[in-house]
Amino acid sequence: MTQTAEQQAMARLIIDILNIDDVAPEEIDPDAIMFDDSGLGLDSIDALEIAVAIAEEYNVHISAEDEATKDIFATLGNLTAHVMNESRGLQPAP
Amino acid sequence: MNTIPLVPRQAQEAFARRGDQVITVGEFCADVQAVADQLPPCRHLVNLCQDRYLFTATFFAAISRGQTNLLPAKRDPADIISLADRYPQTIIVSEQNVDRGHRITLEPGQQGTQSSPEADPGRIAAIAFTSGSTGEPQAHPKSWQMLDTWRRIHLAHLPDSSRPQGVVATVPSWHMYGLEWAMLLPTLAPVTLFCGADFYPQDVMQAVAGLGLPTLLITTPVHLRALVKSSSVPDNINTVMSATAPLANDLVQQTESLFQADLLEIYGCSEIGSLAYRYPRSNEHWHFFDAFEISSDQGELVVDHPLLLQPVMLADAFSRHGKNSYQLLGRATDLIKVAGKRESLAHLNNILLSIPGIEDGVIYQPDHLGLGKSERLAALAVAPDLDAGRIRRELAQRVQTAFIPRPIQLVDKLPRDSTSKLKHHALRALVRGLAET
Repeated sequence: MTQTAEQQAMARLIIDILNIDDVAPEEIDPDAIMFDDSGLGLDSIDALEIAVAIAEEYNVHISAEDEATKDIFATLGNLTAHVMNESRGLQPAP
Repeated sequence: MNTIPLVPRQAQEAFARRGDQVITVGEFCADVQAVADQLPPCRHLVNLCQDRYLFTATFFAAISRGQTNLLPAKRDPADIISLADRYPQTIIVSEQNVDRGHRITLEPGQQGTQSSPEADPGRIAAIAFTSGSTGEPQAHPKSWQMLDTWRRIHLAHLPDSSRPQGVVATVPSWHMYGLEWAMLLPTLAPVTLFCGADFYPQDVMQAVAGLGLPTLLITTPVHLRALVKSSSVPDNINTVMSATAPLANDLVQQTESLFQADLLEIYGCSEIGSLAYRYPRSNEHWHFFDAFEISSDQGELVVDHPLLLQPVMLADAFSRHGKNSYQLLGRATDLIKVAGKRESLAHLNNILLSIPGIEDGVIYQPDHLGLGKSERLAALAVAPDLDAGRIRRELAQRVQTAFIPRPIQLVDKLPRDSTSKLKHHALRALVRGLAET
């Protein structure tokens, strides 16, 4: 499990926003499921907090209207890929 | 015995909005009938529909068939199966394929009768469950007469109740708060319920814009903070309703100034449902709905109503400030609430201490210690052979996700006093010390 620089930045954002001090950003496997009992054990309220932080940091707005929201949040890899795709061409939020 | 109509509204009025489509009360009643026709014979039903409209139609379809809706606090597959096994003749329904589930479908434009189905008032329409202090779920049955009476009480306290308005809810309909205000209320009040994506700030913006009506936003402090933080402030909101946890003062001020809307806070308990309200900007005191009789038993409030099987003692402490005016002081017991779910802190601590390798430990609420605003739990553990990740995984197998503490910090020992009690000030000092290192 090697993280890209973007994945590591996203991992740091998740850890900061959710206050998971005991996990280092590089410890989050980009392909591991984040929202279940075996991984980080995140829930929908965490998804909401992450979505707000992503909007602030990357100016990307996540919507549950998107059929793929569950997949987007499934892993660090998916989330990073989605945010990078959406933000391509956009300047980061000031 | 006289029956009570499920949807006592005019058939041509708007009831819900799904995508671009407005569904009238009459069309909704035809949909309820279409779902009812698909339900196999049973006594109980667990409704796992994800779509708010289908959930609503299925809930009322079950009541029209004399079936009881089971409303579990936990919706993990294992909990659902265990609940279905405890209640005789229970079916599980969903619009998706779920384990042991009965799949329902609803084609648009049902041709059935558009008049409201009726139900027997004495039938148990729903059973809500809460986690008791032992961790075993407690059942709170609700008759159709009770739900009908409660929705009339709520209508009486709805701002602008006779004017058509939109309703957008960020809370699920299977939680008592969502069930009462985003499912039962639209069957009585002239409102249009938004049924679509409504969870993220972006969704709420689009939902309110799509309705094109002055809108009641039914939400929680967690969602409200997310909306404020992301500056997602739709301009067509009349009233913001919040429940499940107390609103912090800063959030009250930010909400009122950003939304230019009335902020109405609701207080309730799972045993009964919504009980009291306040407009926190103008008055910090709570007022119980008139229909309930409030008495005090050794400092604790007891709520009664002719339809309740027995009076209910509230888990929160209040102080009285004049006729029907109360200040909420906080939890009277060790019951805590995170993300709208209730759990006993003592029970959680017992679970933590039962993990092999944990010599001592405590789960606490940082905001109770005056350490930050997070409603999430945190934990300290003495466990020389374990790391925090391992403890989290062990806890995840035993408790609901919302109650998993973060951070989990390892310490050499806890500052217990001579009677082995862990006092607030000692705990606070230790946590502060850890934060500084």
